[in-house]
Amino acid sequence: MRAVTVLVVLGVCVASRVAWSASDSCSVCHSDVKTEYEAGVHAATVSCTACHGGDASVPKLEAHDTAKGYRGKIARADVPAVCASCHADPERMRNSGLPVDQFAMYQNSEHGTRLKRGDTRVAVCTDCHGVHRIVSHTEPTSPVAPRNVAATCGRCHSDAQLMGAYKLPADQEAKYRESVHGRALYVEDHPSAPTCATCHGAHGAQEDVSTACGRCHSRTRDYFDEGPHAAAVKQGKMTECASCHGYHELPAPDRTLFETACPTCHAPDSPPALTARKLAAVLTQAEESLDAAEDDVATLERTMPTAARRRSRLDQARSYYLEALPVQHALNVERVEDLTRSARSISDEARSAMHEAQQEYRLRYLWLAGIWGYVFAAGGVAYLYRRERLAQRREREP
Amino acid sequence: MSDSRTVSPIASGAAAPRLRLATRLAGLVVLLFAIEAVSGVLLLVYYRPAADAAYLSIAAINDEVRIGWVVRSVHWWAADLLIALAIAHLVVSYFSRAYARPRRSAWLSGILLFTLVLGFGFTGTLLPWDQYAYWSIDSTRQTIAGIPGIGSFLIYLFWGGWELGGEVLARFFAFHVGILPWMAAALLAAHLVIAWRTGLQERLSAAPGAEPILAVDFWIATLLCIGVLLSAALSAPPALLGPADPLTPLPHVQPRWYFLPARMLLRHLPGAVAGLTVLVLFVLVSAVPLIDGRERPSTLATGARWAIGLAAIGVILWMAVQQYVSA
Repeated sequence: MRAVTVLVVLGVCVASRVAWSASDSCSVCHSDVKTEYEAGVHAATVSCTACHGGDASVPKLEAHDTAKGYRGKIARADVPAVCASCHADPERMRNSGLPVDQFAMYQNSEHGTRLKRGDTRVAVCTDCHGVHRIVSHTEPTSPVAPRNVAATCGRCHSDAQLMGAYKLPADQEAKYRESVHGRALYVEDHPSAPTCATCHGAHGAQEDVSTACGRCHSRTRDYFDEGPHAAAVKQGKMTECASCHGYHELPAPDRTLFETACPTCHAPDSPPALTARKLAAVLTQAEESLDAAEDDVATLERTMPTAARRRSRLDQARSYYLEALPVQHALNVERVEDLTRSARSISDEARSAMHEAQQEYRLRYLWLAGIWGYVFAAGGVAYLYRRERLAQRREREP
Repeated sequence: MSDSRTVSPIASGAAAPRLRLATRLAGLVVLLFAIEAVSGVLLLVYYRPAADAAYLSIAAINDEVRIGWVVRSVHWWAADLLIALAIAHLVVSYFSRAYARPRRSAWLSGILLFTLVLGFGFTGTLLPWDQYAYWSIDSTRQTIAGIPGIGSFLIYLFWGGWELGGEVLARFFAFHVGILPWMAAALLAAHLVIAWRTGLQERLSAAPGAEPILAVDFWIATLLCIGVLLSAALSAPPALLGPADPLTPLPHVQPRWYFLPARMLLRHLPGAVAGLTVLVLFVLVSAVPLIDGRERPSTLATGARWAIGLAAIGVILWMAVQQYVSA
């Protein structure tokens, strides 16, 4: 019996030793890190030793064997290279679906070039992606998920003391949040609204974004290139978009830009200022006509079933107007006028047709008057007939 | 002297012949049923029961077909008026004990008929396939699924699956114009025959020569009913929101007014409990003649009938108002 007990105890010991040696000895001491690490994408495929070196198959401090490549906490300057040991390796990244050029892009970025020069205050991979708990950017809690990008960049770029050293402003994040892009992301919940990385780049982050807008606003850029401002950009007298629209503050563009942006370069009575006033006038007229017609349709749709069919005509008018918005960047008044005239005439035609229909619709009250006239007339005749029949019954029956 | 507890003859002689209020209401319900049938057939000429065509066909009825919007509006308002008068008929029949012997089968057929009328309202709501149609019907799915025992069966019967799509529209259309009308016509005929044989015939024969006067009464009521119906239809045609969009939920969507109490139950009770409550209420209302079936009830039973009836109406109205103001 004793022999059996000894065998069982030995068996358990051997089994547990086998099980322990196959597991990760790091978690024995670093259990807090293990919890974070297991919540990240690396838990499935990357062990602690892949980044920190050493030997996880032996217990305790034996694992911290520098002979086996143990490097402990990775120095900030080394972080990109350590990450790149996998992320720049096409063989290893083959099944991940991720690009392998992030390290190359990082090295050419503002951050990467400064790091190369020995500035360790710049962002490295872990500053944006996290350290042990690294999750996909599609995960809403990821620091590089679209809604979190501005806050992640802002951890450094909103630090006035840190930015002061680089002579950079520290209010970009606050400005971005109030901009047309920021409002699209945070207020309208538009998942593909531009974040910091859309214009500046992610791994290859650059300060110069002078040509970034046209990557999304390609039609606007095409028309801009046809206009006189393109030459001024080439001569370095202005930037492509930011000279008029601003950078991070970027308000929703409207007619007031003609009054605020143009005078910064052009005298009030100069021909360019006149062009600006004409453009503002034709666009404003078209927009007002469209808005009035759409308001009318919306009001009438609630009471008049026949109003709905005007909607498609107004959609057509709206598309002419929307076409005019990028065209205005060519500063060609005639082309903008052609488009806005179409938008205006369709809107006005729809409005007048709706008012005619409304008049027609009001005729229903005449119909109702006729119907109730008939109800009372026919009901009155029936009532008189009823009274006579009742009188006859009274006469017949004692 | 008329006695509500017994089959009384029509008052004859000098006084005008009189029918029960429930009978007069029933006449108007039948009239509205006929209006629904005629306007429904007219709509059927242009309506297309497919997910990609239903909304456009209703928009065409509204915008392009001459007086199409009037026909649609009449169909819509006649349904509401029919349900309102059917409820009034049910309530008056309850308080006048029109369910007691020998009219127990009239009560039961009436309850089934009322259920079919609600079925017409339910299936008809989806047919325009606009945003309201889509999201108001979609929101009833949980209630139906919650009915114990038959919830899943009903979902598969009406929905043909769990998602609300073109198949559901086709099913609802089939029920609305192909199945429910025949069932309702047959039940209505049975209901009328039972009512005729269990009192109406006797009441009319007790006052010979009264038919022309009753016909004039019905004619005047018909004129007034049509006047009210056309006033509503011409001055407040039903709205048609944008086409059904499964990706854009309509916020705070309310069901049609006659389903407000049921929606309130769903909001405050788990699906199964809400479904069970509706089922129990249906069984209880159907079984009223069995619970209180004697020809001459005691004073206590009469008191109980009024107390239960008024309490039920109060609770149902309260639930409807609560649901309405909650949006």
